[in-house]
Amino acid sequence: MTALAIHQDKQTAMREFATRWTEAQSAVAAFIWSLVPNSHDADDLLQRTAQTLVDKLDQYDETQTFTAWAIGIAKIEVLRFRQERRRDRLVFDEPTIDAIEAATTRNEVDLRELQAVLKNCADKLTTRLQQLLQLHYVEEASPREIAGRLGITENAVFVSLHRARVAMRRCVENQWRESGGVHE
Amino acid sequence: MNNGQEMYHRHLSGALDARADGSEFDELAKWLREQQANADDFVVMAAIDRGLRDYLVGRSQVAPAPPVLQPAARIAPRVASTTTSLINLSVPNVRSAWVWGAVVAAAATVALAVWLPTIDRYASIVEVDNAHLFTGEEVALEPIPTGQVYRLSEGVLRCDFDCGAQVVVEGPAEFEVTGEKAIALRLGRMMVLCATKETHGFVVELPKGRVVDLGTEFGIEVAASGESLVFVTEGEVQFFSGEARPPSSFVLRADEAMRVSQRNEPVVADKQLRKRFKAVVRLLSTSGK
Repeated sequence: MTALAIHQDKQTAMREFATRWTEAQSAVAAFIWSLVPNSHDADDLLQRTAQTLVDKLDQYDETQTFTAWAIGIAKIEVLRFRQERRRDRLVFDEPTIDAIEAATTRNEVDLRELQAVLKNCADKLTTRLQQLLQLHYVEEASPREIAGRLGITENAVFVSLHRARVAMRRCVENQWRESGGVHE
Repeated sequence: MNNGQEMYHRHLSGALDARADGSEFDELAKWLREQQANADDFVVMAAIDRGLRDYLVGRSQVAPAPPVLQPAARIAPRVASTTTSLINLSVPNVRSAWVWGAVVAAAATVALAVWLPTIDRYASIVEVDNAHLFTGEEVALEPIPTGQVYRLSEGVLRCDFDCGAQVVVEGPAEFEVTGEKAIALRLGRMMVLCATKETHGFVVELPKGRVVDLGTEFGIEVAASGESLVFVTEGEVQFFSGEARPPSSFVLRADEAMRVSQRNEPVVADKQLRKRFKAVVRLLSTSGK
């Protein structure tokens, strides 16, 4: 095979990978987010997973879906991360990680379509909740700081965050139901 | 929601906010292993939480954050685009059902007026070359609704913004118009031309940062890993890196390129690099700039 042919083969493989990764990314990201709450750590793990997938692309066995394979690789990265952070007591054990891995693969389609309805649901939250979420997620303010700025108690901050999540969940479910999908 | 679910959701929030204690975390883990449906619910809930965070962070990069009222300045909730705020609307001394009806109708009109702009269309697809979506559909020449994610499997398309900016995207790619002068590129290759004064400040949001136009033509590549390459052909852009800690920014000028990752590395803007952008530049140049 000539150098040009090898180059073209590699290019085709990378294009194929990019296509598959675009479809699998939501599920892989969701799997990592379920296990690693810190957004910066989760981003790093997603990036590491993508890099490993590229490196091991020639080992991909087409008898399983690309997403299932990618989640399997992500799991190895998460376990490695867990090993690095073994002093942190708040990490799931392996049987729980297995349960989450299976759940992510089962819900691949829902997870891919989630982004499309999230914006609508976020915009429907009350202005007050949006302010609180803005402080929590964007400014990464501590619960104490949020409480001080909004004139509420620290406990009320946690309760409101919980309410916002539940409201988002209900809204997402409603949107899925309205779209007549298979999500019910 | 039954008591078991309520308890689970509280534990979940505790885990997501990193304030759950060991026993709450263990209970959550046990609950997840009990039934498939529990783990299904957990995965979706965690994805919603993270998606919400990403949406708010992305929105804050293109628009000012909603003002946070200080305790002393707190007032009755304004009529907003949600049912909840309509319910909370406090109007003293109004007893007549007719007046209530009028108030609700007025509030609904205001809420509608607030809601309608959220389906704005700031750009349209004006030219395509073998452009297909992952669903297999051919890309149509049409206005692009803000917030709609386009997943291009192959081909090239050009979209023109009302502000005058022109953007050419080459598949495979994933992108989304996020505002009047803003687009998000999550995968693929893109060329942007901001030739007029009105287009200055045009933003391209990337997985790990954003590029702000300072009067220019520039190309961007986003790899599946989220790593980006910014290449300026004319003028200059400012790049804000969300990857670096603390976040940093730098200006790139004509014929300069930068690979943006944890370590930002300059890249030689050689012939090979220009060749990679050949297809997108070709469609841009047909615009008669």
